[in-house]
Amino acid sequence: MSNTGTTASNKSAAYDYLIKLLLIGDSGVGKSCLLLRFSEDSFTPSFITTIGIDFKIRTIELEGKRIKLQIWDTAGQERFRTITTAYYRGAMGILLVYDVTDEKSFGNIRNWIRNIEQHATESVNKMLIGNKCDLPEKKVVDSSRGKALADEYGIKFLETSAKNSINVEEAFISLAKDIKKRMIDTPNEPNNQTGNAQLSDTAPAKQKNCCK
Amino acid sequence: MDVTGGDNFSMSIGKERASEESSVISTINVGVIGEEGLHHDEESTSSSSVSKLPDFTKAFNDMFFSTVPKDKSPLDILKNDAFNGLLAASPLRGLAWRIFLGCLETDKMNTWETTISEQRQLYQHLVTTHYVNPRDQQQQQVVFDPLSNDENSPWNKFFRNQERQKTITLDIERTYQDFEFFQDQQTKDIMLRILFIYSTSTPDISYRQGMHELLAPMLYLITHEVEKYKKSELEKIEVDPQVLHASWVNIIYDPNYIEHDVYILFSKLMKTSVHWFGATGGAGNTSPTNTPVMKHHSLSDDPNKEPQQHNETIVVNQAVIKCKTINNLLRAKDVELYNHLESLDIEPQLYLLRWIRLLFGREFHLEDVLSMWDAIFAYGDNLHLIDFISISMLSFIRDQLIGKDNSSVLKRLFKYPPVEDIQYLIRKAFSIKDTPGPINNSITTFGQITSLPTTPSYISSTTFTPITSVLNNNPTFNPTNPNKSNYRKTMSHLSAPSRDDISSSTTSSSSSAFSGSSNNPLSNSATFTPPPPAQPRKPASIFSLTPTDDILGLGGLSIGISKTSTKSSSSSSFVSSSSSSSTNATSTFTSSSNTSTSTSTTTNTFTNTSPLILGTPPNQSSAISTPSFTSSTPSSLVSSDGNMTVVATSAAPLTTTSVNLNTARSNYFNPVASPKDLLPKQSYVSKKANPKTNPAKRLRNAQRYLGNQLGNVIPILQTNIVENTSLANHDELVLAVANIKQIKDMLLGDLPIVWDDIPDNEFDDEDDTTNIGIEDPLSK
Repeated sequence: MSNTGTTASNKSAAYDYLIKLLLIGDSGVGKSCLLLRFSEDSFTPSFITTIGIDFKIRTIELEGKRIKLQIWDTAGQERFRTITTAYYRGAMGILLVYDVTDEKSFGNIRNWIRNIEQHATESVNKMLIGNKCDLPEKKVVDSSRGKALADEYGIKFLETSAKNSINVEEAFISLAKDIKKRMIDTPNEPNNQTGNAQLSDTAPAKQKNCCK
Repeated sequence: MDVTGGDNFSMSIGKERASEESSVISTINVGVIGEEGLHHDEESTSSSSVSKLPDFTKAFNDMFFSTVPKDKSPLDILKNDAFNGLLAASPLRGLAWRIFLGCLETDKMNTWETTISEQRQLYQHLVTTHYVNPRDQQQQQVVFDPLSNDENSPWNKFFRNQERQKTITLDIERTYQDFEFFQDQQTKDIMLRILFIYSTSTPDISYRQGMHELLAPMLYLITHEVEKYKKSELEKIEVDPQVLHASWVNIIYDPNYIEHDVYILFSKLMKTSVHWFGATGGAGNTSPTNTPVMKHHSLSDDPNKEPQQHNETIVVNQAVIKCKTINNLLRAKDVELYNHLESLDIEPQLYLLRWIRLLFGREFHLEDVLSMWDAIFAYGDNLHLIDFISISMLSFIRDQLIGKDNSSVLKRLFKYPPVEDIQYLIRKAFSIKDTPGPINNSITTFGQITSLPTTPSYISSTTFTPITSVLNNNPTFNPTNPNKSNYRKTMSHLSAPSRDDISSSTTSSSSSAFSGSSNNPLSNSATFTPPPPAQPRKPASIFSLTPTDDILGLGGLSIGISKTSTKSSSSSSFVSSSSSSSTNATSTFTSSSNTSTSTSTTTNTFTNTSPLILGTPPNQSSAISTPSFTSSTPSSLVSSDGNMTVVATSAAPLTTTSVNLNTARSNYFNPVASPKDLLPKQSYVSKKANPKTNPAKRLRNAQRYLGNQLGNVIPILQTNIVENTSLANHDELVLAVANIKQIKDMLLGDLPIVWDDIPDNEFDDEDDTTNIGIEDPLSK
């Protein structure tokens, strides 16, 4: 990879660590909207179905380090591993998203988790997100059920609203912190080796920065 | 239900284009069918200047029941138009799609009425069979318990169907939200029914996300066409007794069957496209415990259940195969770019998946998407053209990928830049297809032909009619013409990867443009469409050889027929001419005689050639690129019928061509049509582009370069024309050469360009979107 010269390269190189995140969940739960809120702090009702996969980037600062988040947004209907194993394989953190107004999307979270267990790195950080919490009158999945499910899998849980910008920032940042802690601050634990290897797959030039 | 989610990149693209769209919408008369729609339409019509409704009946009759014998079949003509972007203006576009995709066959027109009727009945039948509300059924059926688990219970079916409808609706709600048409409930209902019926007919795949965006453009097109037809009929207060086949048109554009016809069209498209939606490439993943119905259900509606089917782990995904095929093509065509993407670990399916599934529907403005689909459908062969379009698109943004890091590359790939001229990408795709070996990507010089727009329009009007046969009916020409070798030497430094591009994608349009004169047997062979994939290249490609490409492309003094030409034989072609075109033609032919692999064919063609070309009087023959020229002797340059015949001696191959100088000039002076065309529009839009890509500087370079090219060609013309005083139109030819020389001098700065004499609105009347919003850097 060549980082020589151009402004663009310099700009994109202006970070200390690169973290890859993945958004998964049923169609229409608001994955793309969450991402849009987080990456551009905006919300639009004029959404569009994600086909295949999409991605966004945002660089944040955590404990004095610039962390570039490369966030992959997947189509709810897509079975990625038939498309590419790289989605999962390279992911360091996964946000599992359901819609608090849609029981089925909550029920499917278990399937998504199974999917992750099969195809993602074992140590990948996960977080459960109940989106659309701005619609309490339509809410059918109680917060306690979300919390219980998250506890069952030992992962964090947050209810968010991409529309009203509730907890979106917190969700991504919190996940990024956990990843940083796991992979960067305490990189010697055996669990992290695979993650590091994957990282080098996609960003060889950044490997030294990311994973020393 | 409050639905969220979406594609941010595409969304922002949509916003960028919103302003363009608004105008498009207003003129296109989006509306509902029915009285409401008509009111809406009338309003828009009165408020817009657009107005001239196409005459569907006439267009149809001209195409299929022409009294003038044509050298090409309607199918070929339609394909030509599709490849050259001319279909967009045709009222027969939707019909052409139905023909391209196999709904109707042009060689079985006597069956159309039956076929259409059967297709409509089929859809009607499917709707009544599958689109069921169990409550309506209950009376006739044994009582079913809604809570029963019986697979066959209509309730069970109903609930499953409801789930599927919910999934489909979710996507329909997210379809082209900037378009009023797609916000209309009636449109949404139609889309839901079509997609639902389709998903029922393909239980293995069912509905997959993205299908809705293949359907949407089709529905949009057909609906608008039918509406325009209705309006045009209303405008015909008097029934035209000349109308021969009005009943055909009435059947085809029957507003009561839009939904039916679109379904058939969509399902034909899906015959190929469906493979790229399927999660699996075969039955390999069928869980034996699942009934087909259950499998269908679980696969389509609950992708997440899939992990439970363990024998699925090795999945052959057609979409991935397709992406890899295209990626392999990229390796063959541009190994540097391929290696770069590989080194960044960017799998092709990341970005190609959306491209191929939606047939580029997200990457371009809807109107451009339609144009791209024209070419894709016309090409056929399981939409094979998308492979080359993909490479063409990658090539177009190559500069923004090479040397960039992972994130920058992904960003660019996921958000394709706006493209001024969609036809450029299509032409380039054909060029890539027809040129063996890698694309030459040494873009920095203008001699680089891949970087040049191979505008179909200018080539297309270059029809070769050797004068030889006119003069003495002697088909022979001197293949060892010394000038020719000079010429070839001159041009030999130019690489021309796209030589076939001309023959295939461009030369062809002449027949449609020149339909009025198309009984010239020459056009039979000299003009043809990109051959159907299965067929070998036709000899006509002989005519399009490298130097042609070079000169035409470089010159940008391209000979053009404008998009405004229609298929009606009378109105179609306007032809003005200039010696610049003769330059092209002559040189082309000269070199072709040398490089042709099939001289006999060539000769034969000439033997049969009827005399001069071509076309109807020019509308703009006086619109000549140089003011001084215009004022001097415009009339003398054009023969009385508005055509100018360019004659050369028998020593030099003789050709006649037609030129629209106005187009030619616009191709040259318009920076978009200039060689920089190859570079992404960004260079113009964003001023932050690489300083190297400074438009004004590049234009100046191009200018000088083109001037030199002309300078190389002029002596050849002079030798052949000036000395042959016996030639008809000799004086005009001499003047024409003088004119080329003036142009050359202006390009090289030896003569001033009098900007004041060039009206600012010179291009306003041209149906050429490439001109929109582009400033002429030279004028500053």
